[in-house]
Amino acid sequence: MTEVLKPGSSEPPENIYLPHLAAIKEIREETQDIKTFKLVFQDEELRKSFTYKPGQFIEFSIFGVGESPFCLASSPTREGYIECSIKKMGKVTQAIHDLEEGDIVGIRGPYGNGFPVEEMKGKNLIFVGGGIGLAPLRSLIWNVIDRRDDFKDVIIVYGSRSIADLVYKDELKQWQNTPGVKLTLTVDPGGEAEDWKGEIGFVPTILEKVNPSPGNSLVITCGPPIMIKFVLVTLNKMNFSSQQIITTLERKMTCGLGKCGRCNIGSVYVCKDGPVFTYAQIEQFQEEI
Amino acid sequence: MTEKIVSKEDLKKILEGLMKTSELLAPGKEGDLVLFKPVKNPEEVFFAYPNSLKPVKEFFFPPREELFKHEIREGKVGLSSEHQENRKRVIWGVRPCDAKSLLMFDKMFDGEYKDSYYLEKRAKSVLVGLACNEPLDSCFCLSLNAGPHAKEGLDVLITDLGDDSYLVEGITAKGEELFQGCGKESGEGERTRKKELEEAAKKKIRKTCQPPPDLESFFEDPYWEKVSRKCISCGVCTYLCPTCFCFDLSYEGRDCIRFWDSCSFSPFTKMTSGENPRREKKTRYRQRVYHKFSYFKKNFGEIACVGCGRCLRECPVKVDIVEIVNQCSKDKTKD
Amino acid sequence: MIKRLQEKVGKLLREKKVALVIGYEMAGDGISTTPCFIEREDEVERLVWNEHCVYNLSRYLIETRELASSPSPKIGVVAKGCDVKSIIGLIQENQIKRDEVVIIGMECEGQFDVEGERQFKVEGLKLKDKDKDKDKEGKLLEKCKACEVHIPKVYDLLIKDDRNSGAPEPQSPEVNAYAQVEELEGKSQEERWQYWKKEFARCIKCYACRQVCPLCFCPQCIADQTLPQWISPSPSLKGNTTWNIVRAFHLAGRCIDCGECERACPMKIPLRKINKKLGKEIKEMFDYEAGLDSEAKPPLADFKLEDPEEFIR
Repeated sequence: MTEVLKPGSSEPPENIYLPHLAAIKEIREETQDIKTFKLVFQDEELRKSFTYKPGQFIEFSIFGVGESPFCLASSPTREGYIECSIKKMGKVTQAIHDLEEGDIVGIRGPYGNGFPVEEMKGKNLIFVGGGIGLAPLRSLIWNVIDRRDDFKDVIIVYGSRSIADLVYKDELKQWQNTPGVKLTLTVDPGGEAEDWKGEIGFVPTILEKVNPSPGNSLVITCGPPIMIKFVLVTLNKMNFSSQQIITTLERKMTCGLGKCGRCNIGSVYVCKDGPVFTYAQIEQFQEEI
Repeated sequence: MTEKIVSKEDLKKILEGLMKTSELLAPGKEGDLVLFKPVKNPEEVFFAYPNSLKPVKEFFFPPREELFKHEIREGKVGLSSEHQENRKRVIWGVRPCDAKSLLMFDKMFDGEYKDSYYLEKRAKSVLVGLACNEPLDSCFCLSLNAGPHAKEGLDVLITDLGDDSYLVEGITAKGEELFQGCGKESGEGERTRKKELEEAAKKKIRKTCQPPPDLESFFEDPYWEKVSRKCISCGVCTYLCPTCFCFDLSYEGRDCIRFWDSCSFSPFTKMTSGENPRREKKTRYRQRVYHKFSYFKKNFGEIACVGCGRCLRECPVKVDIVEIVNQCSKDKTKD
Repeated sequence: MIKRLQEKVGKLLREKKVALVIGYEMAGDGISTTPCFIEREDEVERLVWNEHCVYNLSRYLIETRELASSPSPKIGVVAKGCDVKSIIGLIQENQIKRDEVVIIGMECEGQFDVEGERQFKVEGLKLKDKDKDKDKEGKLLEKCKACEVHIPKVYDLLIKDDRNSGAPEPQSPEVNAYAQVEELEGKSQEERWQYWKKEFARCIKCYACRQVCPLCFCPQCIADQTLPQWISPSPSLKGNTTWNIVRAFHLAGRCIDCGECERACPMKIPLRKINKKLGKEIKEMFDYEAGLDSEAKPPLADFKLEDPEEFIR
C-alpha cells in the first residue's frame, strides 16, 4: 500500500474502469455479419498519445448495454484513429452493429502484450488467417507493409467459408500488389463462385500447397480453433518449430486488467500476459487450449 | 508498539466516540446471522462470535459497486465517476484471518493496474482486530502462516482477557490513535494471560491445510473428477471466501457496475461464441483449488487462503477443500 | 438400518444392477453427513444413515443420467420419502426414466439439520457440545414436522427403521403445513412487501438455491440469459427480488417442498415460504400436489378444454 489516495487529497487516482469517449467516424460492412468500425477519440490529446502494438486489444463499451474485448485491427502506423472489425454474435456485438456513424462509444485500453514486432524484424513472415481471425493479423500486416524495409518476404494465406465471408476485400487487392508480399486466398469447398480465381480448400491444406520454408521465418496464425489445430499439424509437417509459431488466444476477457479472474490458463492471464503466445509457450500450459 | 489494558466501559466509550467521528462497522446479529453492519448502539456490538458470515472484504470490494455513470444528452455522452467521501471508516472486531486476506487483495488491486475504488476504501479504513480465543473446528489458519492472535494486516489488536478487561496492542499509528488517552499500562500478569490465551487458542486449531508441494503434477489426475462430484457449482464458497476476488462488469441503466462473480459458475468463462474452457464441473472446481494453492502462489508468492473455514461451514453439501487438498498427494501414491 | 443399507447396495453393485449409488457418508466434522457416490462394492462401508441425512440426493440424478442407459446398469439413489417426490417430478418432466433409477427408499422419522443449527456458529459452541444436549423438538427440520411420507410412496427397495419393526407406521403429527404461509397471508400487502424486501436485500446471488434444487435443471437458466437479459445479474434489491420471484413461479406446481433451497441459502432467506405459498395456491386452484404421481401432468404444464380462463383456449 504505497501510492494510495490520502484522505482529503484532491487528486483522485486514475480510474482504470472509466472508458475514453470515441466517435464512430466510419462503418464498413465487410460481410453479412462483420462490420469494421473506425473510431476517433473525442479528446484531441488522446488521439495523438494513444499508442498500441498490433495484437493488443481494447474493451469496447456501448453505454447502457455492455462492454466486450476486441482486437485492434488497425495498424499503429496509421495515426489518429483506431479500427475494430466486429462480428455480430451476442448482446454487445448486436448493439455495436446497430450503431451509426457519429455515435459515441467507450474505449478502454490498449491491453495485452501484442505481437513481438521487434523480434520479427529481418524475418520472413507467414500469416495464416481464417474468417474474422484476419483482424489482428491485419494490424500487423499493415504495420509490416508500412515499414516494409524492416522485414523480409511476407506470405499471407487467408481463407473463409465462402467468398462473401472474406473480410477486407479491397485491402486484399492492395496487399497482393505490394512487392514482396504473396497473398493466397481460399474458400472452403462449396463457398466458391464461377469467377473465383483463388484456391478452393481448407486453410491448412492450402498452406501445405503454398509450402513456405521455415528458414528465418515466423508464422502468425489466427482463426477458428479448429483451423488453428490443423494449421499446427501442417506446420509441424513442414518442420516449423513451436517457437516459430505465434498465435492469439481467445478467452472471456471482461476486465482486460488481469483481475476479474476468468481468462487465466494456469497462472497466466490471457488478457495481461497474452493474448499473443508462441506455440512453444502454449505447449507448456496444463489446461487444454 | 504500545500495549494497554482497557475495560469494557472504556471500549464502549471509544465506540461511542467513533460513532460520532467515523463510519463505524462492527459485527452484530441479524436474525441467526452474524454480519458486519453500521453501529447504531455500542451495546449491539458483538464480541463473542467465532466469525462473521461474510468476510470484511465486502467493505473494500462490495458485492455490487457503481463505478461510474453515463449520461447521453443531445447525442453527446458524459461520464461521471463519483468517488466516495473519504470519511474515516473504522471496522471493529475483524478476525486476524480476515485482516490477512486484505493483504492478498492488496496484491491484486494495488498491483499493475491500481484499482482506485479499492484503494480509496483501504486508505480510509482502520482495522480493529479481535483476537480469537475460541476458534472453531473448521478453522485452519495456523497452517497458513496466520493464527488466532496474528497481527498481520491489522491496525490494532484487542484480546479479551476475561473479567471485562481487554489487552489492546497498537500495530500502526492510525490504530493506536483510536485508543489514545484511555486505559492503563499493561502489567506482566496481563501479558502472561494474553500469551496463555493465544497458546490455548492455537491448541484448539487441529485442522491443518497441507497442500502437496508438487500440486501441479496432479492437474490431469482423475482425482478432480472424483472430488468435485458432489459440488453443486453454487457460489457460496467463493462469495464467502475472504480471498476470492473474481468479478464481472455490467451496465445497469446509467450505471456501470462491478459485482461479485464466481469461478464455480459455468457461464463465468463462457464466450459469446459458445466456447467454454471450463464447461465441466471438474475443471471449475480444480480452477478454484489451483487458483488458491498454485496460481496465486506462483504470481504473488503466497497461498490465497487464510484458513477462516467459511467454505467448509457454509458449503450446502459439505465439500471440504482442506481434505481435498491434503488428500490429493496421498490418493496419487495409492495408485 | 445402516448394515442393511450397505448390504443391499453391495448386492446391487455386485449383481451389476446399478453402475453407481448416490448415498450419504459421514462428513469430516464427524457429525453431519455429506453426499457420496459409491461405485464399487468395497466402498459400501462408507454409506451411513442417520438423522443428519438432510440432502436431497435426487439433484444428482440429472448429472449422472448419462451413466444410465437401460437395460444396462441403472443409478441407485438413497431417498427419503420427501426426496422420492422430486424423483417423481423428474420422471414426470422427462428428465429421468423410472426404469433407469433404483430408488433405495429409507424410512425416515425426520431430519435434524446440523448445519442449520446456526447457534454454534453464532455463539461459538462446538458442534459436539451442541449435539450432547440434543433437544429434538427444537431442531427437527421445519419440513419434517408436517411430514406425511415417513415411508416413501415409491421405491424399489425399502430400508425399514429397526426401531419400528412390527410397530405401526409413524403417524404424521397434526401440524398445519401452511402455518407459516398463513401467518404471512394475514399481513397487509405493505407489511408483506416490507418483510420480503428485508429478506431479499440479503441475497448475494450465489445461486445455491438453484444449484441445490432437484427441479432446477434448465440447461440455461433465465438468470444466465443475456439476450435479452431478464434479470440483472448483480445483487441489488431489484435483481434479487426478480430472481427469487421468478424462481418461485417456475417452481409453482413443481416444487415438492424438500426445503433444500432454504437450507442451502447462506443468507437464510426463508425461501420455503414463497414456494409453499405457490404450492398452496396450486393446491387450492387445481387440487394438485407435486411429487405424488409420475403419470400426472403438472397443472402449469397442461391445459384442459374446459378451463374457465379465456386466454388458455
